[in-house]
Amino acid sequence: MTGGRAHRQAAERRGRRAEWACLMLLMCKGYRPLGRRVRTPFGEVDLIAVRFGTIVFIEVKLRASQSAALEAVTPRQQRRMLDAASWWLARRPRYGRYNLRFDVMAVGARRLPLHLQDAIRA
Amino acid sequence: MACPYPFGRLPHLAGFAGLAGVSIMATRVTTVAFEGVEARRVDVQVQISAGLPKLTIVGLPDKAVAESRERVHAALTAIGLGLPPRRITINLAPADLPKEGSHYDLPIALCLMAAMGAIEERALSGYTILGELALDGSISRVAGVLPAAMAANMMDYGLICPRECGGEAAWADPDLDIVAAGDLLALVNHFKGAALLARPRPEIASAGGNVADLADIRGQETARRALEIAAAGGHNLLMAGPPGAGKTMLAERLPGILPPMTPAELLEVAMIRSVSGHIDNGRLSSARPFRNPHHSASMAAMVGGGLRVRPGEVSLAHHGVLFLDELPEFQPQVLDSLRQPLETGETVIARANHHVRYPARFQLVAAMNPCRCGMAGEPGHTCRRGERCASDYQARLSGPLLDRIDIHLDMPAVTAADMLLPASGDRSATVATRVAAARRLQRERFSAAGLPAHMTNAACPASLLEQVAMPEGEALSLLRQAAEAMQLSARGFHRVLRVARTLADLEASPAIGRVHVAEALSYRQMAGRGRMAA
Repeated sequence: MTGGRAHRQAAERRGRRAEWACLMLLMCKGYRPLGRRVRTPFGEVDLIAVRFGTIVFIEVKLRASQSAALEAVTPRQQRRMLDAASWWLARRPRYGRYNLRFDVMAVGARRLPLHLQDAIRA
Repeated sequence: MACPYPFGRLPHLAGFAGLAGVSIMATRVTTVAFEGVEARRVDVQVQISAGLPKLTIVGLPDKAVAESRERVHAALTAIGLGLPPRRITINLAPADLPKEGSHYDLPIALCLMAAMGAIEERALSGYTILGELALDGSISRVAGVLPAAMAANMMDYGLICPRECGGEAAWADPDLDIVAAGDLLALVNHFKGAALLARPRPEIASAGGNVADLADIRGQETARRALEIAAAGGHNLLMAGPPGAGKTMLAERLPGILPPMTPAELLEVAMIRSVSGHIDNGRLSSARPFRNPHHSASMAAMVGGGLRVRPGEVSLAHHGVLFLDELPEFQPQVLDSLRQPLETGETVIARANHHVRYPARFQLVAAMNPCRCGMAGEPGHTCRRGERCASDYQARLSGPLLDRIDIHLDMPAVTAADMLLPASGDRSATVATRVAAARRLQRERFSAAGLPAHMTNAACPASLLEQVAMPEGEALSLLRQAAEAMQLSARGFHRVLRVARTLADLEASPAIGRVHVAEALSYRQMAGRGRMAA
């Protein structure tokens, strides 16, 4: 696999499509989106949504299979998500008393995305 | 149940101000930490608050306690309770007392369940809790349930413990409220009233069945007699003889002729066994301890210590027998560390972060060869290294240690002629009745003087000894002559009196006669010789 520009752009497009699919699924489940591709100094959070007083930070992973996608969530990335969430919350005081949860959504080929709740804890 | 706040409410839509249904108050339950055989009360406090989802344990936990986080999480998930995605802080108070061991899993899990509303906190408030959790939510056995039950009884609390340890806990008090559960769900059902758990019964382990019998030993009449005396008076015994003379065989038969333990003794022994995790299936054993550590034993293994200040062999042999085979092969420092417990009947282990006292009233039985090649003193044998062979070998034993041994015994090799004879000696049961009779006399004597019932001639204080064991007339003059000729130390003098008292007790004679003194002195001869060699 060579890292050509066309190749990178194709991967980017597929990623956006996966995030969109996950967001649709979440909304079907009753989540209200608060943010998409939220940039923080610690890194990007793919999706932020809220339901029943719980704010959920979601990392979307797209790989050839769901298991490969789950394996791609590294400890460093988990750390980054927790930091990014603290940063995001710090500038939104009205969400201070909400519960926080960190989920992973694994997207594989020809499957509904797998929504893994409470996948990351500090 | 998994979710602590009602699902129906939508705080997000309703102008979310507080967390409905969950208080920020801390939940607390009671457990214990161990200091020697004492259990000290420890409070487990759990607080669930808003913040990044995280579970922290504070209060000086050691590695096993810190890891209980993962076990508790897995066990709660296994019974269908997810931890709330919130910040959870667990505090073990008092915060300056180090917490060690795996028995904090259950109190932490139950406290969390109470905080999440799965169990009423009030239901747990009258209990001391200890137990280890497996990943599937079952409760595994832990060490120290008996001392914890005693402590709970003192505080007027009940006890929640693993099912396997229930029988052990039931010994503490017949009125103690004990809940011995096999898994978390059984506990939940018990407190909901759905399926009550029965109180466990105290159980005794059946004696090991095949106890070696004294009748198996051919010849060695003197040694057998010495063993009986040692058993009757609780005296320390040192046997010296060539390899194959039957020293080890003889020592193994000592527990078979010792009297059974009194209930008070049994409880003391069980406390030490419990703390060191030696109780199987929650059953206490009525057999007297018999410990025979290998001669590579370290000082920490012998007197207790190590990182967690565990009881050593001397404490595990409390009210029983400590058998040291190949005595001179032990490290000299290890042997000399026995001197203090031999005298005081307890060990005090002082470390930077611990100061622990364990009882250690044991009977020392030791066996040794007379020299390195093992045959010194046998007719027709000369050691390759001559006289030095025996003197160097025996010099490894310090004089003060030998001085604390009442009965020194030379065991000659058994001849083939002895082996061909039919077994002639008394059976263990016969000897045991004689020993029990002698012990009964001692018990009556010492109870009259206001001493504890398990006191023996060997352990009796010197002042009382001079009242009850001072010989008269002929016997006294023999003792005076011998003491001068043998250069007995003050302690050695008392040791002779003790053995003489036991000899008189075995014959149920109130006064100590000349024969008793003479025999007692004969067991002292080798001690003198050993010191001259040293």
